[in-house]
Order: sequence, then structure tokens, then C-alpha cells
Amino acid sequence: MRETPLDAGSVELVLQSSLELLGAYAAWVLAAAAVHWLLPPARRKAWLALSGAAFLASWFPAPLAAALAASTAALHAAGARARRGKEGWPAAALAFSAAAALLLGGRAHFLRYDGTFLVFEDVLPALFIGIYLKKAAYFLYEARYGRLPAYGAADTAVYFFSLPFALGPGVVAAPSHLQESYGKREGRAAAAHGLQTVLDAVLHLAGCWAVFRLFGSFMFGRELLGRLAQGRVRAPEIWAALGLAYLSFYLLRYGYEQLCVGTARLLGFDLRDNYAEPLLASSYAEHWRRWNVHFREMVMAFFYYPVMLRLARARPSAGASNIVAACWTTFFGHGLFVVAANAVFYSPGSWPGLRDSACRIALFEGLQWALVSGSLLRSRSQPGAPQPASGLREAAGIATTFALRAATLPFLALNRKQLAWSDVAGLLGAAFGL
Amino acid sequence: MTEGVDALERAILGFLQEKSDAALRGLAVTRETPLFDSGALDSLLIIEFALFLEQRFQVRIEAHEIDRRNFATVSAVARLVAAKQGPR
Repeated sequence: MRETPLDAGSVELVLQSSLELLGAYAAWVLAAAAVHWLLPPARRKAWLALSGAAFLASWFPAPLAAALAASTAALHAAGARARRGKEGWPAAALAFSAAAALLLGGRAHFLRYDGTFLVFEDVLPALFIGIYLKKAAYFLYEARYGRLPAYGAADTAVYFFSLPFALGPGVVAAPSHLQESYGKREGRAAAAHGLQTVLDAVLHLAGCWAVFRLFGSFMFGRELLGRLAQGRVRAPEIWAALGLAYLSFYLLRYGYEQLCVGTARLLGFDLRDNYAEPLLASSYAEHWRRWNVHFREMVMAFFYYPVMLRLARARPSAGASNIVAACWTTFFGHGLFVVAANAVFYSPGSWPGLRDSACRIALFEGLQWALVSGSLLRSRSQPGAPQPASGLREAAGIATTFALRAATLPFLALNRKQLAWSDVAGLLGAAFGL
Repeated sequence: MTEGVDALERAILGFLQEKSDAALRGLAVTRETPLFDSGALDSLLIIEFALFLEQRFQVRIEAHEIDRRNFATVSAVARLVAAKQGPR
């Protein structure tokens, strides 16, 4: 299949679709929050689940909605069996696999090739399913280990279908956290806290827009790449472009995901923030701890703790290789989840796009693995009790971490349409004076 | 049982006060310091901590037990260990 560059018409379709969705979402949030706080507490969760499911169903093809409902019922049943000490995994895995096969069979996709152009469509189902896959795994994990002792059907439905938790990668929160955080703030206090978070998120999104507006043509634009090819760009200019691109990426991610956290808070779920000031991290490992906190916790629980604990018991003297191996497993697992979530964005036949996406993610996860492992090994190599770092050393650590993170970003944009291999090699070569 | 938990808490607190770099960030580790959110336990120290608990108190810490609830505070960890040891 021939690939075609994105054209202006495709971009307009995306924008139009996004704005329609955003408007509908905002209307839902206002209505859902108002009704939620007017209802007696016993009926609030059912309202959130029903209203969220109705909203989603209005945007989804009927077979997809039915598959999701069946899959969720199977997951809930598996969770209930696990709570009773019975094995519920095989049935849940079967139901989940069947649903996934149906979803990937062309019922939900984001990119479609119409013979001339790649066309964007069905953004909501694709977005939803990417999140759903991760949440299903988290739900089964927590049920299996007894963390959901009193999880009713309404809790399950809220977790999978209430809108704040259905659309944001930042709120792939543990189901147990969702349950425990509900009701910690009531009425006005919850609304004020939620609105404050939403406002903060919107300000970050506005900041992202401003950076793009002011420097968009500068960051990896054709003009910069053209001058790079002619050898007319110097290292400081490349670093400025990398830094601005990273800043805008952070503002976008923070804004989008905290928007979901804020919406959840409006509805009484006092979720933790998804970012803990990652720009102030003074090492790469610390940066990873502060970035996308909810999803990181899931990946750590699935991969890092089991592998690292087993290795540390079996080979206590092999500290360095244990770290490298545990980090490799963690980022491999992290990449698998990201690739699976990305897969739903491609319709059958768009395999070159999916292959490009998988290669890009594999490369990026490999870089993260190397940088986080290196950072952990470095911290471990300092003997004795932890020593305080001087202000200058701390500042140097923050600047280095920022620069490293910025330098990995072009790999995320690596594909045939945005940045080619030669562009990335040229950018980083010029940045590092090679 | 209460005295047992107190002794556990003291031992756990001693380990963390020696090993964690939280104090370097102006944070005193106490029985109620949030260990996860404050960064007092990073990804390496938490494994070392789990092995310390196993060796010192003769219990088995499973990987799925390392979470925000069980490792929320020194007191929460002491309760986990005490529950694993059973009534004495």
C-alpha cells in the first residue's frame, strides 16, 4: 500500500472532530457534575456509569459498544471470582481476547487509507480502546491480588465507562485508588478542587499553544531542517529547538491528562496528580518517577517489582546486572502496552504505519531503558550514606536531565512524515557537535 | 501486639533514616511520613527495604505487596510485617 503525506484536509478533519468531541465532553462534564451532586450518595456512582456509557455509546458503532459491554461484564465476573479465591483468569482472558480481536478487526480505528489519503476518523473509539486495554490489565491484576475486596458492578462500570477515566492516559489509575479516593471531598470542596485543577490544566494547554504559536516554525520545522541539510545551523540553535519542543510536549501532556484528573475531582474522585514537577528532576531516573505517575505505577507493579525482587534474592551480589535486567523488562513491558494502545489507531491494511509506530516506540523505550539504568547505576555507585548535593550540582543535574530528555524527543517524532532518520541523525549530530 | 508493632516501627524507622536520602531534601522520615509520595523510597531502596524486612523479621514480602497501601508509611509497613508474623 502506498503511503501518502498528511494533507490539509486530513488535519482539518482531525481538528473538527476534536472540537466536536471537546464541546460534547465539556457539556457532559457540566451536566454530569450537577446531577451527581444533586443525587443521594447511594445513586451517584450508578449515574456516573450510566451517563458515561450513554455518552460513549452515542459515538461508537453498535457492534463495538456491544463488544465492550460484554468484555467488561466478563472482566467484572473474573474479578468477582478472584475475590472469592477462585481462578478467573482463563475466562476473562478469553472474553478479553475475543473483544480485542473484534476491535482490531476493523471496528475501531483512527487512520484509514481511502486510496489517496490517510483519513482520520472514529477518534473517540480509538482513544477509548487504547485506555481500555491498559485498564483491563490493571483491573485483573488488582482483583487477582485482593486489592478490590468490595468492588461492585457500579464500581467496575465507573472505572471503565465514566468519562474522566475513559479518555485520559493520565488517569489509568489503579481501580483501588479510584475507589478509595471517592468521597474524600464533598460538594463545594470537591468542585473547587476540581475547577482549580481544570484551570491549571487549561493554562498549561494555553502555554503549549503559545509555544507553538511563537516558535512552531522553529521547532523541527522544514526551514530548520533545510538549513541543517545545508550545514547552516549551530548547536545552540538546535538545543533551543529541542528544549522548546520538549517544553511544549510536557505542557500538552500535563494539560491534557490533568484535565482528566480535574474532571474526576469535580465528580468527587480525589485522584493524585499525574505529574510531580518532572522538569525539576535532577537525574533521569527521578524524571521517570515524576512523569505519568499513574501509568508508571502500573508498569512498576507488573514488571519491575517482581523481576527486581526475584533477582535481588537470587543474586544479591549482582546488583548492577540486576538493575539493568529489571529495567529492561520494565521498559519492554511499558513498550508493549504503548504499542498495543497504538495498534487500535491503525485500520487493517495500514501495516506500514503500525510497523513504523512499533519501531519508533521500541527505539524510544530502548533509550529510556539505557538512560534510566545508567542513572540508577550512577546513584548506586556513590558509596556510603547519601550526601547532600551542592546547589550548583543540583542545577547541573536538572539541566542535564532536561537536555537528555529533550534529546530523546526527536525519536518519538521519527517516521516518514515528520522526521526521517537522516533528520534525527543530523539534529543530534549538530547538537552534540559530531 | 502493640509493643511488637512499636519495636517494628523503631527498627524500620532506623533503616530508613540511615538509608533514605529524604533528609537531604529537608524531609524528616517519621512514622507517618508518606514514603511513596515524598520520594523517601526510590525504586532501588524499596527493594533493599523489602529484603531488609525479610531478613530482619523473618517474613516473606511478595512483589504484589509492594504498593502505596502497604508501604504508605512506616506504621503501615510495621502493620504488614506484624500481620505476616501473626500473634506472638
